[in-house]
Amino acid sequence: MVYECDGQTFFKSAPDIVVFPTSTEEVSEIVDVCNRHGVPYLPRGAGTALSGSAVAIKRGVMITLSRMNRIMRVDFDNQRIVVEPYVTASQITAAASERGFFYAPDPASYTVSSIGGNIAHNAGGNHCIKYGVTTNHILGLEIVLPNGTVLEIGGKALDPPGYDLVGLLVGSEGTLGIVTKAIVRILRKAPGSAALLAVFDSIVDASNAVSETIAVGKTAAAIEFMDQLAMRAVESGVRACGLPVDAEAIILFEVEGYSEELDLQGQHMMEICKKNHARSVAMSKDPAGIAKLMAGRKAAFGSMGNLAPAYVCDDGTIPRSRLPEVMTKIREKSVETGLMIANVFHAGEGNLHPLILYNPRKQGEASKALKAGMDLLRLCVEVGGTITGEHGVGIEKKELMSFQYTEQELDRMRFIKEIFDSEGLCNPDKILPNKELTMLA
Amino acid sequence: MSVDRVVSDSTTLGFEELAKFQVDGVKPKAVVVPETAEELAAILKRANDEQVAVTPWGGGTMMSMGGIPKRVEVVLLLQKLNRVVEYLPEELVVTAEAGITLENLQATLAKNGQFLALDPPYASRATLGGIVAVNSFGPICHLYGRVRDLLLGIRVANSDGSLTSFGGRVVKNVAGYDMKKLYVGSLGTLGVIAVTTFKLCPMPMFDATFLAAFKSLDDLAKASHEIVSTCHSSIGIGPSAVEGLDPNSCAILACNSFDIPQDYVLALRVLAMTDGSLRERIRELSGITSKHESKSAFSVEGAEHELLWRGIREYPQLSSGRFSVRCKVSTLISKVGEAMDAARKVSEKYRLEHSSVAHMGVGVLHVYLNSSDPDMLSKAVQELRTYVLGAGSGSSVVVEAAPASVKLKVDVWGPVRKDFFLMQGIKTRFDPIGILNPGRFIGGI
Repeated sequence: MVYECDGQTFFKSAPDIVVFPTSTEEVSEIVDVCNRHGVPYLPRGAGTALSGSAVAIKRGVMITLSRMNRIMRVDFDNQRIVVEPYVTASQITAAASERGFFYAPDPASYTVSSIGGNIAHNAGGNHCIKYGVTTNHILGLEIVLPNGTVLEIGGKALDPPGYDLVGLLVGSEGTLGIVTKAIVRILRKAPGSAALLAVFDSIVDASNAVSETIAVGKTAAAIEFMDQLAMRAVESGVRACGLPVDAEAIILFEVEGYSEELDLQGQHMMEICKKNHARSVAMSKDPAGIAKLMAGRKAAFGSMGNLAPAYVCDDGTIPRSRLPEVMTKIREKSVETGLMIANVFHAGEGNLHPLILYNPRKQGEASKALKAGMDLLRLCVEVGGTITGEHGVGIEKKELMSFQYTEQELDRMRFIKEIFDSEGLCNPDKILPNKELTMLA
Repeated sequence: MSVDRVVSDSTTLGFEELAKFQVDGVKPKAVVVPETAEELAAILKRANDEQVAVTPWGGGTMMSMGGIPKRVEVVLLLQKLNRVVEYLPEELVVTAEAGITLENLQATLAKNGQFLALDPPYASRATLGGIVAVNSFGPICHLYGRVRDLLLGIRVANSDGSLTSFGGRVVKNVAGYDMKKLYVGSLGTLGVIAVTTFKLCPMPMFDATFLAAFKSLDDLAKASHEIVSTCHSSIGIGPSAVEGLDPNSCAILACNSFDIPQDYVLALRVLAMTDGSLRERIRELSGITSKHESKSAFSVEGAEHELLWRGIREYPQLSSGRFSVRCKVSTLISKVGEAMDAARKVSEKYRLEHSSVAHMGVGVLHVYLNSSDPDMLSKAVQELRTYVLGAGSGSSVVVEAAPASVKLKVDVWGPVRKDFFLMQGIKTRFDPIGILNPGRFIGGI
């Protein structure tokens, strides 16, 4: 059953019913009915979330927004696009590109995941090192509050007076209300871009090259990292694109600018990679070539099935200078547990995605994989990072929130939940750990 | 006296200095100077227990913001919380206490060729905490964004005496609600900011000015529209600031800072990674402005370029003796020119001295007004607001500075929207007794 889980297949719970509203008014009516009968409900977009945030853990009504998929208005003069929640980021960019604009956040799922889901998770993507994450590009929301009221928050203009409620709603994982429209910012496309593929025989060398790139202030538009296992997964599937599977790791850099500037930046990156013992570095200004490489990167998660039937995916983010050390520890964890761990991630932001592969049919392997994932997240927090950089907390990392926050901090988040959702029916039991449990911990 | 109990364990200033710390004419009973975040939190707890109103005070450059306070009892002066907590240049991230001035922080960062990409006015006095609390920014917001885009983490002292941290030191973080956003522009009404963490940018390699003067505002607006619609801006390349100046602001800049033509002037800050690319960008801009019939156009580099941008950035300070009212107008990008014209028209109608400086590419302009008659000033603000709000979609006019006589006649924040009850709910849960800056924020919060 499609609606019993999201992209994170570990947690399963089917809703009692699934509804497909076509308008804001219908969403509001559904919420009203749920309130009258005390039935929990939750919004759902394309169901690509990786944290269990779109799972009906308390059953109830699943409000699937797939019929609210219109681009309402493309306003080039004000560099804004108004969309319904089921529009994808790639559709927004397609609409914007007619006059040379684009929508910046591009999570790997951007051709399928809905903008409503991107907003709920404050989605990142390959280019957020340069352009920021979803929250930096959302200026206004229409939202159905848990009491059924329809509110417009923010707008096309910046800084409406008062507290930044748009900022609070972005990343709230559908627990504070249901987004029914969004005003997004579009940006003028870069004049040109180039990609560099650097091949390394050592994971530590590759990590050092990333750290050094950040340290010398060379702002790439994207710095993506794949290790050997991740490359093998891609290359053994239908989306093979010629990645060097004999290497320990590759880094894909993307740089932007005018022609002279592309050469200059390419040269800088090349020097840094060579200095860190890259086996080879090649640069391409050919858009088709760049797209092919990036497509390989985006295919990585989906290709893991070529190596193992299931995986646990972490999303911890660390200070970028700690990358070499943390990558070494991930490798040690793989040896210790006997589980394969593939790494494919947004290195420029220090946003790790270790994919811990396991076979659910083998006794105890799933729980071993989960525990290894927890250990790695604890490590991320210890080195000054966070348990989730872009996938969200959902159900999966709820109990890990107390690694990162004190009870007083969690209480302030609980205040927010209570203010927006006093009945506690809107996507219940997500993000915030149960108070009694954290008190015992 | 409860105020005495709050201050008894802390450093206090002499009574004669208290007058310096008045807000809209309301004088505090004491000024407390905490030296650590923990001390700050302890003072807040005490104040909360005693129901004493506190007013956080950084550099004191934006104390004109907000409505007339209900009470000002203890001023919390944060100037001793001025340490850089952690700066790892290789991370492009800095953590510093709220009371450090922007200028001091930038000096530290500059040694590594980095900077915090915010250029609000009063840089020598404005503090990080204050900049966050009032959401202050300047011309380079065109490229780099505003406080909300650059703030990674925040540590706040709460009215219950707790210290809470949200966000962190990493550039991506979605663990839980994005609580730090609430404090940006909240005027210290939810908690007192103790420590902030910002993401940094490398300094641009080539940075120059291109100026074009126009015979009409309409021509300036058209040229600016074409530039912001066709020129890519991102870290290190393209326009980083697109400022529209009216003839009155040019006259003030010409007296104080840089000899600029006294027309409608478009001032662009242009970045590039090579000298050749910089020349090419300026040639392109020049092509656009001449198409829109600029009277003159020229580029400026080096010391003069720095002088000009310091002048534009510090315009609120340069002009503060001339104007008693400053309004921040937020509108649609395509309506900035019209808003500037509306400001001129209402000023002429009520015979006010006036000037305007606009961030053309983001839809924000500052309007400066002066008159000895508070009645005329408040009528002009009301009329300007009615005009600007007509564009809808989140447009607003916020009075950032005005004499108390004007604040009595016009709501500095403007009308509240339907989402106000949520803001009230947040305020009530975060500061139940209402000791934090009571009465100064939107809707009397």
